[in-house]
Amino acid sequence: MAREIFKSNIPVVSAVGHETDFTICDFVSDLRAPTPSAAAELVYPSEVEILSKIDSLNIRLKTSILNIIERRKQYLESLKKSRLEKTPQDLIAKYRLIIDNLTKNLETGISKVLTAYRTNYEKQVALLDSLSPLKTMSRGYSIATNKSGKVISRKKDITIGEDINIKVIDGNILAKIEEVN
Amino acid sequence: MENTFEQSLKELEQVVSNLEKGDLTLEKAIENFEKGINLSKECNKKLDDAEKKINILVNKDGENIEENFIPEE
Repeated sequence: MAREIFKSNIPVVSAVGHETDFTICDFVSDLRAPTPSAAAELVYPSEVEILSKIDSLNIRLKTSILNIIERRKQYLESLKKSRLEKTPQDLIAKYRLIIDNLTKNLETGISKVLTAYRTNYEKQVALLDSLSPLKTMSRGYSIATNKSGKVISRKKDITIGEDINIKVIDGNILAKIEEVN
Repeated sequence: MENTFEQSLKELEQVVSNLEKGDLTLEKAIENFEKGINLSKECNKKLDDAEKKINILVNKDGENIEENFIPEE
């Protein structure tokens, strides 16, 4: 039996004899106890030890679960920060840019239209101005009319001795026809 | 029924294109321009509303609170 005890992988406490007696068992066992009760005491940890162990296991359990929850929470946060929140914000920024560009083009467009119309208008005014009789007159031409106000533009429009009115840029000249050639 | 943002944006693009083509009468040009400015304001307002809504939905002091968002008229 002693040999078996020695070979055994299972720890063996010997508590065979009484206090002062020693058996061969005692020498080959892993631990010798004076009495069976003593053996139980030796093998089994104290209540304080057990309670303390339970406490520390509790703490480890709590810490682990809190860690897991915290990691999940952080993962969720990073998800939100990356695609969930960013995508609409990116979209909004992109659209603001597009709208700004369109508004600029709008303003440029109307400005071009107005410039084109103004240029055309000014051209017409200049043309009108140059065709104006007053312009012509300021270049030295005059308008001759007979007594009835009819414009004299041909020889046949007048007779010798007739009183005519010559309108120049700054007034009227009364004249009498002397000769026609 | 009020236009969606995309519809307003599309209209704005159309108006700008009309103006840029350059063959409008003066009255039509001014009409288009006015319409365009209004559409541009409308689009910007819709974007503002969207941003506000997102900010309301997002975390407030670590909690997710969703409130009803009523756009200002």
